[in-house]
Amino acid sequence: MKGIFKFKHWQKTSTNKIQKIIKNKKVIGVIGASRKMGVTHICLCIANFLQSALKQNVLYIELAEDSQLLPVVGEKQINFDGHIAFSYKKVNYVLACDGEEAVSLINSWNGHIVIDVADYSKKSYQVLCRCDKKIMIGSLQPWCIKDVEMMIEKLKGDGLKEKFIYTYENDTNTKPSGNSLGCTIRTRPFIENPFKLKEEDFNAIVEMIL
Amino acid sequence: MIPEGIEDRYDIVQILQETAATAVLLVNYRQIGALRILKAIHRAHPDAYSILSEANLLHGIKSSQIPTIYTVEDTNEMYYLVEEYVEGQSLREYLLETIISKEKLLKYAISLCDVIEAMHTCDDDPIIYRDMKPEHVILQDDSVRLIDFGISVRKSKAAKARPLGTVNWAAPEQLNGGFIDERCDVYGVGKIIEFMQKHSNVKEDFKIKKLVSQATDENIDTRIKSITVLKNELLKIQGNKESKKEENRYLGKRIAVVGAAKSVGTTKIAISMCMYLNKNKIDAYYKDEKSDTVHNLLKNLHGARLKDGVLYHKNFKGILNYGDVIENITPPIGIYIVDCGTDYDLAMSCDRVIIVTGSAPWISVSYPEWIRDKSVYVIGNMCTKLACIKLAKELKKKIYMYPQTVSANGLAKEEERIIQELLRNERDF
Repeated sequence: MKGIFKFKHWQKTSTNKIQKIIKNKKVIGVIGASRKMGVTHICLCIANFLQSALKQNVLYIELAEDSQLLPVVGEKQINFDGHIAFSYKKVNYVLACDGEEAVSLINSWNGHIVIDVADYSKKSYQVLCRCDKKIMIGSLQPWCIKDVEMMIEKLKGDGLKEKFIYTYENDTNTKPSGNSLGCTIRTRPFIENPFKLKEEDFNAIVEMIL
Repeated sequence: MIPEGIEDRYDIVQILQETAATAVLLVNYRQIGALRILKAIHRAHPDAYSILSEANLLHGIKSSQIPTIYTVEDTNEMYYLVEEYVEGQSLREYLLETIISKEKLLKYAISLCDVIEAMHTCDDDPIIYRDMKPEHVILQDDSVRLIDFGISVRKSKAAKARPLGTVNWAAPEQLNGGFIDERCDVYGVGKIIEFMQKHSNVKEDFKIKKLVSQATDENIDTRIKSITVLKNELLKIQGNKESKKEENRYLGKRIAVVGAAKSVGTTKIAISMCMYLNKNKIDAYYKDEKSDTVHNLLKNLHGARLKDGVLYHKNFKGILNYGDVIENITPPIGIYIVDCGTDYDLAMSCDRVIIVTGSAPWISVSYPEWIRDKSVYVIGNMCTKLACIKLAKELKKKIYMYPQTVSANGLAKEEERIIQELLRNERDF
């Protein structure tokens, strides 16, 4: 009987966590421990979820020298507060943004901000320090773990308590404990298409940004 | 004037129309014993070319709803055209003795749109019919056929065409010699629908009335843009009608709650109605197509849950307006309480309309023409009893006085009573 109730509870998503997200506007920074870890994919999922599912005001900052997203989101150019941006599916994108511009946007934007940090550098570190939520995506495979450890070392002393590492690996046996690395380790959610989210993806995204 | 030299092939059955230079005859084609229409005109007549142009026009239309042209010939004195004899009763004759149902009205109207659409989409140069009237619409089973293309023109030549047409049926720009295009046929079909509605058992159906007024708008710029748009609107009305038959009782019904002005409490009443129905075990979903009311509730309601695009909270169920990025979710089955804000056009797409009005002196209210329709109810919110009585006299309609409640998200007993009274008129509930 208990099982049935549990199942019913699972069927409907609780909105308490969603309410927390809506009420506390956040700056979310995502960085990859190695290249091609799917940072942009996760950032797009978060930004689109916040906008389309929760109807929040979202700014996407691509912290990189060259833009990879321009061909995808660059249809409609807009200007605000002296910044050039692109609007796609109601999310505002500032592409190929430098550190100074990113900081000025963090200071002025009223809403959620998702920062796609392409590479680690001193400037990107400064921007990352301004994020309320820092997410690192890496792999715990033996040939990648070194990158994860190095990135954790680089991010040390940023003054923020919580860091999350999201990995591709689902097998808990291969995971080192979070404490040994000094952060929480979770499995990276699999979301097929960041421009076609499903309701069942919501919980994973909520957990990620809460 | 009857043409000479046709006797060897045709027997004249009836002279339908005859002048000094023209004739329209019902003839029997001897070779196969079939009835045909023979139209003849004297070579010297100024409109002699019209027979050739009619044949030329009809030749290009791919529709079984127009008569087939068999031959165009000439004698020494006359041109003549032989075409299919379209058997059946004209719409005018039929409606003299019959009151038609909404289903038939819609069937005939859509069928008429089909034939006009075929004319407007043939070749690269649309044909404008210009002569829509009940006498030219022949009924055959569930479809209609159109006859008499004597004054039809190609759109490219419409500017030079003489301003011909039948008064009371033709579009004003056509009779005034103004610019004409496909929209003059939209006007014609609108007039036919109006004529059918007058002879139907749905004389007061506001959806059809509204469509007629849009199709027969004297201003060509605000008239329905094309016959396809008009046809789609008719199909929507027909779709609603048919889907209602298939679904059980109340399922799939859409009740619009629309304000006669802003800030008259439309959203509160729509939410209360949704809660009342769910409390009484009838699945009802609140939907706000104009704004993000359900998202605001998601932000503020404690203990709410989310599933398949629906927000659940106690007796409330609201459909979330997800953005483009979220995969489409099949809408749940039940009654939809549609919060239309102040959009009367949106309200018209629903099965029942509840108009919420107020009596505060600083608000400016506006009522639609169709407010007297049986399927429209009026609620006076934040109104005194005296104001409701005055309004009832003005509108010649019953006004439901909504109680003043203090409960923000609950449902007061007085509210329940008034909603119950409103829904009592609906047999389904």
